[in-house]
Amino acid sequence: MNIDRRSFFKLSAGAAALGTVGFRPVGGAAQDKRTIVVAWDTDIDTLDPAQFKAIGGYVTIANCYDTPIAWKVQPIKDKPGFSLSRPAEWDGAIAESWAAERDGATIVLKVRKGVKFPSGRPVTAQAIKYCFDRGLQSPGYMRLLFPSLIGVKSPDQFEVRDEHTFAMRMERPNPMAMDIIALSNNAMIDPDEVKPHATQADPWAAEWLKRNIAGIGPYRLVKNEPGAEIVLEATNGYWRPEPYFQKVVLKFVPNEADRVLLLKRKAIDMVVGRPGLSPKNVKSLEGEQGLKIFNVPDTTCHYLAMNGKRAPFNDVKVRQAINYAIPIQAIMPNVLFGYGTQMKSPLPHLTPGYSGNLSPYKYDIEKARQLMKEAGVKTPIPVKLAVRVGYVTHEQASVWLQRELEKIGFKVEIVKETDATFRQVAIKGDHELSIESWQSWVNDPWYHLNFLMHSRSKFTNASFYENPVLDKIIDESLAETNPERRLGSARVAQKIVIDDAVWGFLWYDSWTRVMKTDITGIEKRWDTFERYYAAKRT
Amino acid sequence: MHWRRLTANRLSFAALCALLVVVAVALLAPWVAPYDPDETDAAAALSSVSLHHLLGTDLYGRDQLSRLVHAARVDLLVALSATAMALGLGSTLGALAGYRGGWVDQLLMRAVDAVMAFPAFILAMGVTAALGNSTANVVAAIAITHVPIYTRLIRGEMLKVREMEYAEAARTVGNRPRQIVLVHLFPNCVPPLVVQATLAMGFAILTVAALSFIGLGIQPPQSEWGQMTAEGAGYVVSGEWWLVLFPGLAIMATVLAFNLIGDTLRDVLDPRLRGVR
Amino acid sequence: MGFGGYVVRRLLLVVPTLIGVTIISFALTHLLPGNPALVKAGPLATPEVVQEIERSMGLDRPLPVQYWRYVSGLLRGDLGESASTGRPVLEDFRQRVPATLELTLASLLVAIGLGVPLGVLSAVHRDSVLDHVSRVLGVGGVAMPSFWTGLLLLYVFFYLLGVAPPPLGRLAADVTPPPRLTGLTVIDAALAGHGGALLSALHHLMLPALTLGFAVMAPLTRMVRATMLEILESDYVKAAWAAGLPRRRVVYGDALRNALIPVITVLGVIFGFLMAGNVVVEMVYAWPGLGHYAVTALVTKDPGPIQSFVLFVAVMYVFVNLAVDLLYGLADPRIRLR
Repeated sequence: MNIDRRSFFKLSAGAAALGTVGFRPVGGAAQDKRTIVVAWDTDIDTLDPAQFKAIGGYVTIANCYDTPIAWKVQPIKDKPGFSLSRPAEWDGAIAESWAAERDGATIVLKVRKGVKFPSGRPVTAQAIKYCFDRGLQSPGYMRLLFPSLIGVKSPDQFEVRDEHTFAMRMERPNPMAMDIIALSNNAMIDPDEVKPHATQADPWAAEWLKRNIAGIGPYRLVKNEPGAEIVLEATNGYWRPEPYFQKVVLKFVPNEADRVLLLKRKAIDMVVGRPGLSPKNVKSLEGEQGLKIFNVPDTTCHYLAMNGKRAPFNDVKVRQAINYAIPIQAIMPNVLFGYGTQMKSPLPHLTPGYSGNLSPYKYDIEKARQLMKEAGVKTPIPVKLAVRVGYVTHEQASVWLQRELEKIGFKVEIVKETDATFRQVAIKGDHELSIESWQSWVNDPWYHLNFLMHSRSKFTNASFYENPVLDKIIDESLAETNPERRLGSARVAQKIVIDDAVWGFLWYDSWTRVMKTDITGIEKRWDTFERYYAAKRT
Repeated sequence: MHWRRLTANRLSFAALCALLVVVAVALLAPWVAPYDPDETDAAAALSSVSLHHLLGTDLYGRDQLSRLVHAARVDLLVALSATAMALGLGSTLGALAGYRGGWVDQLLMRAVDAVMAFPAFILAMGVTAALGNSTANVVAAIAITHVPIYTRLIRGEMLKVREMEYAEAARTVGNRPRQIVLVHLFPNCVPPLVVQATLAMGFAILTVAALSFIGLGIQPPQSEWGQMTAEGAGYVVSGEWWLVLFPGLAIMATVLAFNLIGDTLRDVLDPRLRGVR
Repeated sequence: MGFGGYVVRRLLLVVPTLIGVTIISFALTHLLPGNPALVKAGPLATPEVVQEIERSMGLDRPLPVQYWRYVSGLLRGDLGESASTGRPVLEDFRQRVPATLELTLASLLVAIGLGVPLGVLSAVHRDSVLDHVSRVLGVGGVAMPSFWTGLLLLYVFFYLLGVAPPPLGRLAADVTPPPRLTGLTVIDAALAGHGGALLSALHHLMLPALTLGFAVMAPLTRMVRATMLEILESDYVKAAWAAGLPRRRVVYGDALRNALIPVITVLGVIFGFLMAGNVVVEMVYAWPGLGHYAVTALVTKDPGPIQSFVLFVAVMYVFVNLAVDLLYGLADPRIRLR
């Protein structure tokens, strides 16, 4: 084949022209108004409601399954279009009403009449019992929560009184029970769909439910392409009015910079995730034309875990010194950009019982140095500060912390670990310093302190704190059903933790979402995950 | 002899000068840098190019120019040590394979083939993920991916020299074969080795940068061009362009210089070698 | 020794290489710190559950036994399960490989389409300004981190100018996908005659292919340049000129044709760059291929996908190199004698 220069260049020009053929101005895309397009960076790992591992699975479950009751939301005064959950307020969902017996030790749910599964079969109390039985016995999250938090240990405690009456019999009255029932893990599964897939080795069809949705909910999962997108469509014949958004498209966009560009170009409606956008990028989108930001203080705690089983962190003076070295005045503006609140207590500031005036700690390097001297430890102390890869605010805070800790005699090496490794090392007790975060989905001070400070909570008490006095207070308060008496020991408990400087107190998150100005009906519930049923476009 | 050719090509000369500047800056970093690269300054965070901070500051208020200058050391050191390690190990293995022949040769070459079956970056990714991302591990990961090239090269030359060695031994009496091998081996090996090594240096720097982008690069707060570029890339969308432009340019200039010099060396020293990497 | 013998010899050499590859990928995942059973079990699992999973994954057996389980699983097509998608790795692969393949092929075309002309220009106008510019452009791609190039291109062409599509996938949202035959959207759309889908697919492929192609074309440019230079200095060409043949015809006809043959050898190397570059470029453009899947698996220490990805890439690489060797052997008989 003889190519002469002229045809050679003609070929190249042709190739270039082919490239320009696709050029077409973007933005103002032909997007259907009744479809909402959301960008995030997570996949569905399992659709089994009893499990909870990754966000992708949980959000899909929360939107495709109803629960017996749900957290109620109320509109917020100065933020039109947004609603927030209040403590101890619930809506009936599958249950149209509920009542308490035995002073609240039994909760009775009245099943709504006329609600049908997609198969056509009616939703009955037997179906609810199946779901709860499954939760209690199938491997997963509820299997741990039911016995440890509300004293339900046997399926006998789930009673079917008649077709439309279901009762949960706990050992004692428990104020957390309703919140536990409201968790999306208690999804309304259709037992007759699921049972055929149970086997000898897998009696609760965990393998099948991992990949399939079989129950009643506002949306159905119509497409799951991991790494690309998840598509939900409104359920036909749903027992509530049709949602505004007939289609919810969750697009997988791993790079945060891409998500920002997509928002700026209005190519998507919203970015979600935990957190989806770092505070820096949220700040840069403030005032952006066509976008708005919804920001509310939230209950996620971010703290510096100091391993109480390792020297020198077993010395309370060292821990206090570290608290005086935390440059919170640099972290708030430069890491959180105002999207967060300073932590003054182990309890989140929105949790009942919170005391914000107990903490003496503030940035005071001289005092920190003095405390280190009093502790009498030999400096410099080499120490590893572990943070999780991808947790942008933690990574940034660690740099600020490192500078300050070095001023008081530590030689800090920042170690970035992946989620799985981080958890494993933490559980083994091999972390010295690490930045941890925790959110209690049940907004109760004793639920919170139980997981984080009780000596028996091996997996979640990251500081390995052991204080029999505090243990007793927590145990007693967990069992206390009178709401006022329940909060009585809150102040004492917080003082113990603060005086003992169990944590390096960092901050509480804000829940932030950036979206197009025409999106409303966003609801934030205690578990922070979006349910798109009530969302609308103005 | 060859220097004239090297300097006659203006592009190559420019590349050489650029590289010398980078090396000089790296060596003199503590004196050239206006600030301590790790010194934070909350008030000056994210400020643009100015007289106080010639290349701006980052999220922590650290001076970018100082960080860039200190990072030059890390990058050059990583590139140099990775290349040196690969050269050392690869040459030894190659010499062994070529000299011994037989099953030693076969085994080594199969092993080399297996390692070469992985694109360098994928292998580096895997090794760093497995061993952890300390600087030493990153260097080792990059070195491992480069070993096969040197092994093959030295083995090739070794095979040629063995032919000559037998001929010579037939004539000479009492000379140890190893001596002859070394005497004849080196002059032939140096040109292709130098070319490969020069190109490999550029590669090492880019590999570290890409590893940082995925999150498997060198740990902070140690500044390193790739890590600065990877982090800075995210700031393009919020307008802090100086955080990605300057580290990116530093990488580009240095790697380009390495590549151009390598090309010219190849042209000059051994025009037979072309194309491969 | 005919061509047939050469083929057989080359094929036989592949076997030990493949064995070596499986050993390396097996070793890699076993060096990964952390317990894969713990990953699978999740953060709230009790030690008994973890032990149970360890037993079912065979992690309590000695290493050679585990290796054998691994290899026999491979031969059966069982590549394990992914912890982040909850699906068999084979299924994940089936879904993502076509996307990566499409990007790879498109980038290869870009690399050839840009690299060859640049190499030729550089050789023909040696030591001139054009040579310098071509060399910098040709080699420049390799000097810039591809995520840098990618993000800058995205910023300029998508955000500022709006001519590139949003990084949300391989087709625009309002375009119906063509029926899946090969998985390569461009080809499927062409086969089905969907003009709109074809244009949309090309549009979405544009920036990623450009980024990746630009990043890998350096060896090609170099090779073309060097070979052209050698040929242009050869007696044969000088004779042709002396005989009065027009320079242009000689350069762009015979010289180019002969220069392109050795380029085949570089294709293997370029393929390696492409596979590696895929990882980064796919992340920047949210391209739903193997790249991000692999990175997530590495970062979360998910052994099934890591092993499979590493293996897949290596096997592809081996076969591409095999094909290159065979092609070259076909074109140049001298090689076969070695």
